[in-house]
Amino acid sequence: MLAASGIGISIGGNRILDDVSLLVMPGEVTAVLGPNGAGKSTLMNVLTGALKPDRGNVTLSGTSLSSWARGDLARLRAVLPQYSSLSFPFPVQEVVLMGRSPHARNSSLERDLTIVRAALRESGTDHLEHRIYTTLSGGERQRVHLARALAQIWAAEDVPKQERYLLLDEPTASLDLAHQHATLEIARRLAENGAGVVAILHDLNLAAMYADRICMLKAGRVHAEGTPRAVIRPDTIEAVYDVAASVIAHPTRGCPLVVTA
Amino acid sequence: MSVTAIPRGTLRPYRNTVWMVSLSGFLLFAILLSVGKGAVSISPGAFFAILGDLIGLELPWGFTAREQSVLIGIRLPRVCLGILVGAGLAICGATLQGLFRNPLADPGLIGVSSGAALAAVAVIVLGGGAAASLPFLPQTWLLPLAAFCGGLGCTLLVYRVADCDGRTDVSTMLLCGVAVNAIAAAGMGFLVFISDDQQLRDLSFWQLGSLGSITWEKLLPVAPLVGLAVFLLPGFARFLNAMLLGEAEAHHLGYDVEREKRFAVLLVALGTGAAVSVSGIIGFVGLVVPHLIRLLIGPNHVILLPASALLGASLVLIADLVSRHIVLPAELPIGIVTACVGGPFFLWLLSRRRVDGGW
Repeated sequence: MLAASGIGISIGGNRILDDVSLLVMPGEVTAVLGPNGAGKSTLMNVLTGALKPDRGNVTLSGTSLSSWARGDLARLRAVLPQYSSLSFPFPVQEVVLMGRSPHARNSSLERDLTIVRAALRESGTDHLEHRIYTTLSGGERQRVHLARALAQIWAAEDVPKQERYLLLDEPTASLDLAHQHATLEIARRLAENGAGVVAILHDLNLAAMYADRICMLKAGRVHAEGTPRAVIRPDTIEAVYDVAASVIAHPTRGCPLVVTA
Repeated sequence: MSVTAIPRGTLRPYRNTVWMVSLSGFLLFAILLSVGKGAVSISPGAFFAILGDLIGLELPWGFTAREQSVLIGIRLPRVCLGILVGAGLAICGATLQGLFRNPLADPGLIGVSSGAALAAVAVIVLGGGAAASLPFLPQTWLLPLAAFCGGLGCTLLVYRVADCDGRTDVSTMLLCGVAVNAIAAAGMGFLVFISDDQQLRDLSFWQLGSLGSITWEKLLPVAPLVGLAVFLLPGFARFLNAMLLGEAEAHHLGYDVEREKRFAVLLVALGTGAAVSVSGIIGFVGLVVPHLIRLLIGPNHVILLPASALLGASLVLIADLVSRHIVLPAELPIGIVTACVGGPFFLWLLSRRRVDGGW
C-alpha cells in the first residue's frame, strides 16, 4: 500500500497542499482529479519522494519513503512523467532499456531485452522498437516512456511476487482518443495483475470509466474521495470546477458520465 | 517470430566490441605515426624494439642509440601526453554533455578550461611565493592542482546558473560560458600585464596550447589525475543515460542524483584541469570527438565514453603531428590546429540544429 497521510507543503509562502491523505491500494487504479493549481502535480512529487512535505509522511508497504533504499524502491515503483527532456537520438529500444537499469545487477542483457520487447508490445509500440526516439511524435514518445515505466516494474515469472506501483502524471495529455483509452486499459490490466496505479487525470469521464477510486482535490485539500459513483456528482463538480454539469449513467458501462451544460 | 533471430538495429554487444577494437587500432596507428615522424624518423620496428629493450625483451628489429634517446627523451613523453590530454578532454566533454543534457557543453565553450587556465596562469606568474608557502607540495604538482580548483569552481558556477529545475537551457549555458570566459580572460590579461618578459613568453605559448617541451617529470603528476578521470568516468555511463531523461527520472530510476553528479563534476574538473595545466587550452576536442562518436555509433554513454577517450587520444596525436610539421622548422601551437577544425564544425552543428528543430 502506498499511503500519504496528512501531507502539508508550502512553496514560496503559498500553501500548496494542506492535510492531504491518499491511499493507493494494490490491485486498484486511483485517479487524482482537480482543477489547475489544485496541487495535483505537487501531490505526485510528494508521492514519488521527489519533494519532501513540510508535514505528514508517505509510506510504501508500511516503510517511510525516505527509509527505502533507492535501488529497492526503483525496482518496484515506476513514475511516468508528464514531460521528458530526452533530446538525444537513442533507438526506442535503448530508451525502454533504461527502465531496466535498476535491475542491472541481477539481470542479463538478454533477459532485459525480452522484457523490453514485452513492454513495447504491452504499450502497443512494438512497431517503433528500431525507430530513433527523437523522430517520434509527442504521443508516440509518451507511449515509449510508458513502455519504459512498465519495463522498470515488469513482473518476471522467475522473481518472487511483490507489490508494485505505477505513478502516472497526466498520462493522457498528449494522446489521441484511441491512445488515451489504450493507456488507461494498460493501467487497468496492471492493476488487475496486482499493481497499485495512481494517475493524475483531467478528463472526468476517463477517470469514471477506469478508476476504482477517485481523489478530488480543490485548492490543496481533498474535497471528495471515494468510488467514481460517490465522487462524480453534479454537486461535487459544481463545487470543485465551478461548472454546471449533469451526470448520467454511461449507456454501455453503467459508470457515471459527465455532460456539461 | 523466432526469438533467436536478432532483428536489424538491435543492441548488439559485439557491434560495440568491433567499434572499440577499430578505434584502438586507429589509436595504435596514430601512436606509430606520431613517434615515427620528425627530424629523426623511427620505424615501427625500431619503436617496438626500443620498448622491448626497456623491459629487457629482445626483438628482431634494430635501432640506433640516437633513435633510442629521441624516442625515450622527446617523442614518448609527448605521445603519452597527447593520449592523456586527448582522452581526458574528450571523455570530460562527453560527460559534461550528459550532465547538462546538452550536446553543446564543452569544457572550453562553457568556461571550465579557462577557469583552469586562469588558475594555472596565476601559478605561473605569482607561483614563486605560493610554492614557497607550500614546501610539502612539489612545484610540478602545484600547477595541475591549481588548474583543477579553477576548473571545478567554473563548472559549479556554470551548473548553478544554467540549471533551472533540473533542466538546462542551451542559451543560458553558452552565455554563462561566454561570461566565465570573459572574466577568466580579464584575469589572465591582468596577470600578463604584471608578468615579466620570460613569464610572458611562457604564458603566450602555454595559452595557445602545446604538447611541446614536456618531460617525464612534468608528466608524472598529470598522468594519475587525468587517468583517474578517464578510468572512472565510464562507470557513470548508465547514470548519464538516465540523466538524459531528466533529473527527476534519474531519481525515479534509483540513482542518488546529487551524489553521482557531484562525483562526475569533480572528475571532469580533475581531468580538464590537469590536462589544461600541462598543455594549455586545446579547444573543441571535448565537443567534436563525442559528436563524431554519436554520429558513428550512437548516444549511449556505455559506448560513448570509452570510444570518445580512444578517438580523442588519436585525434590529438594527429593534430599534434600536423602542428609539428605544417610550419617546419617551427612548431604551430596545437590549439590553433584544433580550433581551425573545431570552430567550423561547431558552426556547422549550430546551423544543422536549426534544420532539425532542436536537439
